[in-house]
Amino acid sequence: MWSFFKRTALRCLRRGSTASGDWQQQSAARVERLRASGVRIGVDCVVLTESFSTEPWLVELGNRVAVAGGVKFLTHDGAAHFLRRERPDAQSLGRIVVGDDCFVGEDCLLLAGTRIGSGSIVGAGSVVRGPVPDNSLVVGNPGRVVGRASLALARMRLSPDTLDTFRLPPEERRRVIEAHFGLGIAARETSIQEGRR
Amino acid sequence: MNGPDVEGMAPAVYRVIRGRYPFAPEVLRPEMGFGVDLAGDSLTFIELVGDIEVQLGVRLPDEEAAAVRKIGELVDLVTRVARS
Repeated sequence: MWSFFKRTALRCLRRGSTASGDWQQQSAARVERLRASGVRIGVDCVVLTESFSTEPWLVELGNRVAVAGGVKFLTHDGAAHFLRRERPDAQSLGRIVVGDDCFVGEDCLLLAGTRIGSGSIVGAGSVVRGPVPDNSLVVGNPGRVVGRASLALARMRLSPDTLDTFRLPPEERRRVIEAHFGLGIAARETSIQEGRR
Repeated sequence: MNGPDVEGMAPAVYRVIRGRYPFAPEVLRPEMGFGVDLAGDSLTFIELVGDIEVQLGVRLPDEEAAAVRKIGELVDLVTRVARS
């Protein structure tokens, strides 16, 4: 696992960036490994995390689900530790089900018993437990539904900061994004000169 | 629940906005933008749409709500949806 990560990181560093095709290939390989470990994963999913707890077979991802890096699926409640004083084999467990067409953002924690409805978006860093209705936008800790995912996507579609840069070669991508935010080469040189003063 | 009160819709929208953005009533104007003038982010706006739908009993279409940038545009949209 570590050597795989190191190899990937080194390859990305050599290239100067992570090209989209790169992580898609990594995701496809990961999905196969996770399926082999028992995670139920639908079609056309992108999974950028390896953390599927000690009971990966209790996790189910629907079709076209995207799971960002750093996400953790926790299929048990470790506090059952205290029950084991009286019941030595006690474990508190729960399934985690993510519906079709969901996105789970960077570093989220999905706790045992979580059931995320189809078409939902879970914002980065959220801690989610229990049922989440379809088409929800969930954020925070504890995660709460703040609105419709479809509205968030419609808003994102119209945002001036939503750029068509995803599949550009790394250098071109950087140039386009920097130009959009007024950080072109000229701006960088000005900033360096100001730093020298 | 009865249908929404279309005539009283504008003051009602302002009331809901004040619940989400901490501004005095006399400060808010139709030409003010939710981003720059009210210093809200996209998440706050999405929450505001939810507040309006729950409190005023209307359902705003995603694409139209997403295009709203100013208070006046939101009042117009809510009023139009309430009438339809």
